[in-house]
Amino acid sequence: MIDVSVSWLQLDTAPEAPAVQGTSGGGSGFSGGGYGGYEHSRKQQRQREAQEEFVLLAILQLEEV
Amino acid sequence: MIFGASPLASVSLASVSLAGEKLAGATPAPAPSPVGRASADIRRGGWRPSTGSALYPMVNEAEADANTSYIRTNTLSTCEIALGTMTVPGNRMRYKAASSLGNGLVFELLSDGVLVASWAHSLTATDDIYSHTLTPAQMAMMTGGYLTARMTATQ
Repeated sequence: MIDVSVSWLQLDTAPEAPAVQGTSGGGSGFSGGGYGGYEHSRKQQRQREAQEEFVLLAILQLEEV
Repeated sequence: MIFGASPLASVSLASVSLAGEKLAGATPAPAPSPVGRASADIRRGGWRPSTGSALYPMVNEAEADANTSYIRTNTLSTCEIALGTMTVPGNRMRYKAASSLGNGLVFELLSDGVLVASWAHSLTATDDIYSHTLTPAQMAMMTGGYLTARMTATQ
């Protein structure tokens, strides 16, 4: 015996995953995809650059002291 | 789905006589759409609509409804329904299916007759929506193509 039914079908474009606002330090709890993941990576990179600038500034200030 | 409301008694002679025949070309090709919805019957096989004689109007709702219309088969049969062409290839294929007897369904997406993707399911008595995300490579295969959905009932 066979009984199979299909009541709906559609091919469309899935809405983009919303960009996830990462916490300071980044990387925690992120599970997004698509452009959301891309934006998250960009944010992490900016945070790393800001941290590196802060460390460099601190080193320079220590050297001045 | 209420399986007791069997469409068996209302199957038209036209749908029976057309079973298994290629129907391509019977309906003018629709203009490209941002959404791929059922727009014509290509092959009906042993599938029957819940009302009328054509399969595609039973499954072309903008949103999945409460199964007021559906297509159904009691044989290990294949049907093929046109989705037409899309302005931009979609990346998400969704369909709603069920089997009161725990049978299976093989759902295939084709572009100009070339297989783009294939999914196999063991169905349950509950109407479930199956959703699949297409890869960029699969989407590239669909660019400009005439899309069809091929469904085969399995044991």
